[in-house]
Amino acid sequence: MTELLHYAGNALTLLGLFFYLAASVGYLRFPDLYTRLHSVAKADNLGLGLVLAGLALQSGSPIAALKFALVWLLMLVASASVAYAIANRAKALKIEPQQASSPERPEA
Amino acid sequence: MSHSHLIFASTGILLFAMGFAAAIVSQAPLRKIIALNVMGSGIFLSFIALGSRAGNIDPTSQAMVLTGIVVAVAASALGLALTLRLKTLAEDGDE
Amino acid sequence: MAIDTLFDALLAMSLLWIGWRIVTTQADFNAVLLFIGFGLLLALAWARLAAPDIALAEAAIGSGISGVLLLEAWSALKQQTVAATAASPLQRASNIALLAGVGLFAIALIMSLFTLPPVAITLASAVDSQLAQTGVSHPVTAVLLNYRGYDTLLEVMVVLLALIAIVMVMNQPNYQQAGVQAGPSKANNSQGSSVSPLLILLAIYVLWAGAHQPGGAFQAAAVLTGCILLLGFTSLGPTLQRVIQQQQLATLVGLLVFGLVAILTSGATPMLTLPPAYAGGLILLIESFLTLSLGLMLAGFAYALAKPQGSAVSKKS
Repeated sequence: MTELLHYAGNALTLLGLFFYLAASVGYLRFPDLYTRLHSVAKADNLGLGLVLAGLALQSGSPIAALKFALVWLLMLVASASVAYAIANRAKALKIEPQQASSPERPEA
Repeated sequence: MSHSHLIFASTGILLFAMGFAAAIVSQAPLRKIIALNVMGSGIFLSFIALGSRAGNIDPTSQAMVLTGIVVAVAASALGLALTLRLKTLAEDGDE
Repeated sequence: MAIDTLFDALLAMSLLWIGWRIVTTQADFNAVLLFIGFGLLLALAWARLAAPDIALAEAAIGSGISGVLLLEAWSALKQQTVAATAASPLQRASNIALLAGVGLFAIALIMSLFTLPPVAITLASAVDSQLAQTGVSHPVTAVLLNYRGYDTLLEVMVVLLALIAIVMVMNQPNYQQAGVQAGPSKANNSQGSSVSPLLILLAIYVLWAGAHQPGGAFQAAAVLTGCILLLGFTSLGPTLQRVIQQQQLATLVGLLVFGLVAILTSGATPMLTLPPAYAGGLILLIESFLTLSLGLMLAGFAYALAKPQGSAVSKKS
């Protein structure tokens, strides 16, 4: 049973790492601030959640799993608020999202 | 010495060297303060890596580095305040 | 090569790469952000070196609070156009000589690493031999607050001196509103109200847990500072800021309690020799007030460096 949990934990952690990789690639490839924010937020929510779920399965104690869940909860709130704050500030600074008709990527 | 500790100790030494050179060569005071912080982090890294190189953990050096991190932040804060003050003094002096 | 040595090598290379980019990037903003990321990677390195207390402190204080202070300073400095003067040939030559000298120094030091004796001199056995009488069971906390309590007392004094100096230098005697540019939004308010009780509880837990597992007063103080700065972004922010910055007693109480314990324990034995029967309670007492004071002091740094509204910084009419 513990071996099954161990392998399941490994699988979940690898899946979480895939989301981190996807978020980083998205950050590098997306054209403007808002879409980049969107992709980076995925790393915090899904990526961290899966990694913590994998670690919780491997930790072997329910108390540790609860602590991991608490970490994930705090990180959800933090990442959502920070993403909102950045987007709000960008809107106040009049940074426009890139429309489909714009021919080239802005350097921002 | 285990490979990990050798790697981290060398990293610390190289970070110290980079920070030291940057602290002297950089022109903006903000960059100098950041470079000094990098220097300090390099020293701490070498210190702990060399102290535990045979696998034995030394709580005294960890406590010292902990103290060092807090003091480094306090010193950086004072350096930043002086930088801001220099800027306002320069503005007033020119007008 | 074992997999964890490979991981350490990758981590070390990332640290060196980020360090290199910090010192060579053109824009100051990039340097500040890279420094924050550098601090977080360094926290990973501390975890790899079996130093979890330092990892916590580096992530919270070395990267988090330091990053806040650097961002505030960058924001206040960015109107200043630093005329990057082209280096004269003499300057360029001396820069190259400096870089060469520093490079040689680093290479020589790294080569000397191989000649070190295989086992470092540690005080771990000395710490463990008396750990039962220190009142806590975590060695680092025992060293910080019992064996080397005097150093911690002086460290808190240094932080207080830095705060006083910063306040004097920034020339804002009544801590006029140094605020956020945009008003608080509903998201800020809801985040502040939902998370701040949890953060206070977390700070108390980290403080209490420092007695028997990694944690302690400094990490708890950093959590408390984070909570205060978070509340500064809500609509409660300006009021809270004014109230906190006038709480000089609350900022000083950690140092006062620590000093009081130091005075009371001096006499026949050297200062801060905690009697084993009361050591646990005394350490918890000192640490509690230290957490409060350090949290307020670190938040005080952030408030003092913030750009004041209406730019009271410039004295031009």
